[in-house]
Amino acid sequence: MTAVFLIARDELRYLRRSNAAWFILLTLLLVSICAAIVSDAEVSRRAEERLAQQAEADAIFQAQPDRHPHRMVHYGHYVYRPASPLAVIEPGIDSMVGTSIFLEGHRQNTATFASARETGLLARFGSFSPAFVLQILAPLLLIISGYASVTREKESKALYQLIGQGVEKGTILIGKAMALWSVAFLALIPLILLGLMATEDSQPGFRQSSLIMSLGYLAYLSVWVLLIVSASATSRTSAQALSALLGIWVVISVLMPRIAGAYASAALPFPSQIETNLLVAETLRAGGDSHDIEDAAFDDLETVTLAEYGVDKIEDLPFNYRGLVALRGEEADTEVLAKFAEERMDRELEQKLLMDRFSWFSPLIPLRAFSMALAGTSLQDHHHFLRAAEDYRFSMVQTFNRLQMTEMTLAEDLARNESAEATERTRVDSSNWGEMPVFDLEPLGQEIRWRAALHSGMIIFAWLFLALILMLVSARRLQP
Amino acid sequence: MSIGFRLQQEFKFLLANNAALWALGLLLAMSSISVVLGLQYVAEERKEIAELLQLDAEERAYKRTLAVDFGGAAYDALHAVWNEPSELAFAAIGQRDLNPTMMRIRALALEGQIYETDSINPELALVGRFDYAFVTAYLLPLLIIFMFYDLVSSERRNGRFNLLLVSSTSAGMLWLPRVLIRLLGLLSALLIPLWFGMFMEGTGFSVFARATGAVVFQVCLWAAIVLLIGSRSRLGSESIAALCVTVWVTLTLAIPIAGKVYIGASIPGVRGSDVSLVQREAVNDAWDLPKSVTMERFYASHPEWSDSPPLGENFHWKWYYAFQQVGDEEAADLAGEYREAMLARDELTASVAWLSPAVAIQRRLEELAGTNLKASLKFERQVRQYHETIRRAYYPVLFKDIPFSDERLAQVYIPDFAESVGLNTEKP
Repeated sequence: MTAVFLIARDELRYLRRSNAAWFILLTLLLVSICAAIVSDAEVSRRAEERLAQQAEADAIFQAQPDRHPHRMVHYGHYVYRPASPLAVIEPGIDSMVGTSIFLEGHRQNTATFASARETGLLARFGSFSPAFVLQILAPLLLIISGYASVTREKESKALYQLIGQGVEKGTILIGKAMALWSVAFLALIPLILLGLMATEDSQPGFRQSSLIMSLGYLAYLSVWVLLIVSASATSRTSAQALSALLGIWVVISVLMPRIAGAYASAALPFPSQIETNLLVAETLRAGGDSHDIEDAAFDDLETVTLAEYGVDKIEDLPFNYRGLVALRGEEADTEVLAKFAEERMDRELEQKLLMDRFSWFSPLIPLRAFSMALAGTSLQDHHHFLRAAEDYRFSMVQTFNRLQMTEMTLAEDLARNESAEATERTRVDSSNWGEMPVFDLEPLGQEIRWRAALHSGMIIFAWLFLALILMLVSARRLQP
Repeated sequence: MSIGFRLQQEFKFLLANNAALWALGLLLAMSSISVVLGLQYVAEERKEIAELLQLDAEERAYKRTLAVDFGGAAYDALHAVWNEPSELAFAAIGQRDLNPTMMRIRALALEGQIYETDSINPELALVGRFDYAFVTAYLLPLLIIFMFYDLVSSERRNGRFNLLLVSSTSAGMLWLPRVLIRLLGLLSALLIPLWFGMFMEGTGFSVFARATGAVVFQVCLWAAIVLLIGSRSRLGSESIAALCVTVWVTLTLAIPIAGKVYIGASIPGVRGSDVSLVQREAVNDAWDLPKSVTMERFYASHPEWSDSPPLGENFHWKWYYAFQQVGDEEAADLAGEYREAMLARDELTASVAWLSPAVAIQRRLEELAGTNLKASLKFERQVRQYHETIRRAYYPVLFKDIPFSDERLAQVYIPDFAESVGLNTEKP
């Protein structure tokens, strides 16, 4: 065991003495710290902006004058997607999805104004975040510091001596890996610190998530360390090791994620939004127009309601029948809309699962899924927002419909356009708008996020295991 | 030694060099895959547009049969607008997937309709597209590094360097044919799939020439960078490789991302959702304002209708469409600022392109392919123009208070989007 540490210490001493290694380490630390600062500034700016916008939209909404409740159904409301506290570390899909939704009766709008559209071309080059640094740059810098770790000993014939002195081949490689691993660990420190800082006063669970996330990154970087040492051990020259490792890096971090995405979108194409909208419109049409109490679609409702209250005419009902039709109509519409929305989300998830199948070709793919799931910036978090917005929309619209039912009579409602006084009678007091609860999105529960991360986390550890075996095999075949 | 002989010789060397052949094969495979995927994407989009047009016309015709007044007919009539992929869109899909390419609009306030986006899976958008522009911007430089970094230093390492120098008539005769042959290999691996794609799409000569030129330039630029690093210094092969990769990371990853951060900080931009918020406020406030206020504002911008009969107490569609228009007018400045902010960001991106070849080639290809911001804003302009055509088609019947009849409705003619804005594409 001491031999392992001696070799590791020796390698670290070499790294310490070589200018290149210092340069790499400083670059890595500098870039990580910059990424942490920049990402923190950017994400908190965006988060604050959305909070401010939400507050503004809420204020405007609550300041609406007395109105006919159905006017409020069409007036609608805006909700904004709050940012996860860990978006600082892993912005995930945050910039790719719309930030606000307009909620109104009878329909479901899409989330609009994704910041990527406003950023343009550069949005696709990645984001300057600690996650990006660790996912893409850190492996590259590890390669540059470690590609020659074994080949150097071969080239200087020192490996003969080591093996001649009876040092196990496995011991040599483990020692080399440990030296490189300590460099990788240094790279992780900014992530851990930022994770602790960002989650200081956030909901419970995020702090643990950030620590689990660091473990995942540690495993990912360890995979790289083991790959680097194995490649160095099996190559004859340092140059050969370097080009092989750079090739592997390109495949793992640049090529495979895109190929996976291209495969998923080609294998499981999406119907376009318009096509879906037309289908939805067609289905909704079959449900009848809830503005029109004489629409044949509501005949059953009329019969049942009249029987229930034991009256003959809708005028004799103890409430405004138009409100009831609006209520039931919205219920039916929402069911249809929810069905289509769920189908769409399922499809998106299916595409993501197809992408995840490429996890065995690149450890970056499971790591990304892992890190986004924990950070609360993954597809499921976006879906969570969409569902919450839809629930909020439904309860808002139904509140108005109930007001229409109870706050006026059918006769008053039907006569609302006849004179100014008649209009006045159908207006509902504006204090009702203020009583609506504001949209306050609870992030997905930690158990759900952890469960989502579990699968990809296991794949990362499988990669680690395989890389370890690879290193032990290459130790056996190590030729001085 | 003639140059022809040297080229032949170098060609044989290349054929004997397994690693170089692998690299070329990889490049050929990647560019072919990207072209095939791009062609598939474009074909799919065209199919969707054709389907949309079919459904769109059917639905609108059906809605017309239900109409009981002109205002209601206009309310129910949605008209398809679409942004046809260009003849080079397959090579650089660019921002097409984030920008709206197809929608259906009606005579209501446009600011509430125009920002709805088409479906895109954000998870896929995040990893980025595997298109031809990606291959040339990211992978190509890496393969150039692979093929050129030890062109000189390997001879040094193998101890042949001085021998080669003295036995050759000139240094140019020694290196030039080698560089040329490798460049030709790279260019054919890169251009043949692109040309195939352009042939399939029937791309015009000028776009063909300019796209080819951009790719050739990118290849030459990177070859020059790598050769400069590789030949000048007396560094070993490994240091050269490490240096080249560092340069690649800087130019392809670091500068664009730093540029993005800088742009985001210097042009915070208009919050897009404010545009639709302002429009909604204007539209909704109209319900609580005296009708005459709205009408006055509408007549100010549309004086040709100011002699329309006065409004009574009751709901009238012409008032409804007037306040929709007033809502748009209210939001127009903000919407303009929103576009300006995006354009200003785009301008700054152009400066980043001077520092990063990866940004430059993508911008160039997206520009040629009509998949950049400018093209998207042009589409937006066309949609605005078409929206105006639609609402103006209904104004005569609304503002002259013409009694409703199916015959008169049938005379309200609205050309389709292509005809209206003069898209010069054959009808699908």
